[in-house]
Amino acid sequence: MTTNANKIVVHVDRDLEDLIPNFMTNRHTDLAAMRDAVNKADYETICGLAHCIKGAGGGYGFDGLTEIAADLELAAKAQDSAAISTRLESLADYLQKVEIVYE
Amino acid sequence: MADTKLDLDSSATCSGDPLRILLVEDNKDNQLLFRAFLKTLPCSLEIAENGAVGVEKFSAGNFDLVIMDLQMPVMDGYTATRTIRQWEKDQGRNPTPIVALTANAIAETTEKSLEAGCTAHETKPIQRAQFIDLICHYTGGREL
Repeated sequence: MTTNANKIVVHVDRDLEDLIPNFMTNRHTDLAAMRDAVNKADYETICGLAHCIKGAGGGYGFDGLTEIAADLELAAKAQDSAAISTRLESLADYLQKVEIVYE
Repeated sequence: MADTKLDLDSSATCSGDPLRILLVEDNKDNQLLFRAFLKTLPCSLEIAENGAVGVEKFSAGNFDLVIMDLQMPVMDGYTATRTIRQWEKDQGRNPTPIVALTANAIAETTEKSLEAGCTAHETKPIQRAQFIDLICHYTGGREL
């Protein structure tokens, strides 16, 4: 993974190319659901979604996603709204900046 | 890693049959990912979306390997593994390798999964080479 201010370049196996658009759509859906959940203090939902992202992200090549989700899961377990909000912004930032190179 | 991949690609199982793998996993992203990993290999992959379906499929099929998530709705992986082990015992069958594959790396989870009857505990996320390596490792008895 290479990072600069504007983009995060991730190299993904070409065999997984067909799966990526849906995978990314699902992460945007997760983000919206978790933003909603933090407002309702629904930590269980955040914990569950973060756990799933942690377990899948790196398998596709998105190690950064797994890292953010691991922190998010911990923050949700601790019911720490401020930390959750910070991590959700990191997730939003990642999703906005990620640029996929298939190889 | 490259060697095990070659072995699987050559489809040189003793019987010539593909490996039969049961994946018990509720996460759709991982179901799709693992199916993609095995696409070109001589493996048949059956997917169960929770532990209860996993137990049902296991007792109806004949699998070489079970890959078991632990946190799942309806029935979790610990209960599913215990149920499978009891069923095998009742049927007088040899234990099938069951590998717990979870996003929890903590020692407690590992211990609990082994106690439930899992053969081993591995962590997600997992990439293709490691996934194939895992399959080869735990189906070693098949002389791939």
